[in-house]
Amino acid sequence: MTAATGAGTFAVPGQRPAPPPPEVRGRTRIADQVVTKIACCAAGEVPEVLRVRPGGGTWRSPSSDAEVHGEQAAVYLSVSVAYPSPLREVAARVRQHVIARVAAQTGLDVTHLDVTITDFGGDLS
Amino acid sequence: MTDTGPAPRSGASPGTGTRQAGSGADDGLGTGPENEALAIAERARSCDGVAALSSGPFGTVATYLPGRRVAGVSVNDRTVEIAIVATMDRPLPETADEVRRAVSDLAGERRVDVRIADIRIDDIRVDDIVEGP
Repeated sequence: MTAATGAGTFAVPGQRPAPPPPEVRGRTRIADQVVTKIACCAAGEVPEVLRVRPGGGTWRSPSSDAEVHGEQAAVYLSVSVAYPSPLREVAARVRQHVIARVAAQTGLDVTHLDVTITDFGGDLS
Repeated sequence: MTDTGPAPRSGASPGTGTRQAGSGADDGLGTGPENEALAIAERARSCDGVAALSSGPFGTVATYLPGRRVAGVSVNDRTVEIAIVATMDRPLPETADEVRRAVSDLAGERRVDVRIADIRIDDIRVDDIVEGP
């Protein structure tokens, strides 16, 4: 009813934007497993971390080790840490390193990262 | 006179070309859909950062040819889907973009979906760090 704005002129609804050129059409999807592997390797690079296992702790474990939703990823890791080391600091360092690594390698934003410390002991390597 | 020999064959080929391509898939590269999948697989495999092609977690990304199966490439008239196993030499989006660029002329107007199904890590053995469940 408001289409006619003047004598013989019509408000035309916005046109669809031109599609991107063929060589950039399509989507890139990164499998959960890929994010899991990168996160495990990254966590293992923190010196106080002795062993890494994908997935949460033994109880309340999530259904998967990592989930990719669009541009965001959720990661769950279980780590064992060498004895004389501050757990909170190690966990924070693991978190920081894993987020940076996953972002650099996959371009995904890690919005959720659970670190479960399942073991404490052993020598600092 | 020698020109008239091939001429009827080429004239008859549009009608039967697709059928012949199906029966002679192992012969030289033609324009049939099965040879297209083979060519796309070849291009994708030669990209930097691609270790192998994968058929995805459920084995769904594949093209079935008479007598063989091309893993990692699935082609229809709207989408070209490629699933790869990547190396960690470079960031994965760069690898995916290179694959997409490499097959863009074969894909034409269709979109190319690249799925990174797995990675291969050379310098670090994942099993050393990761303890299986």
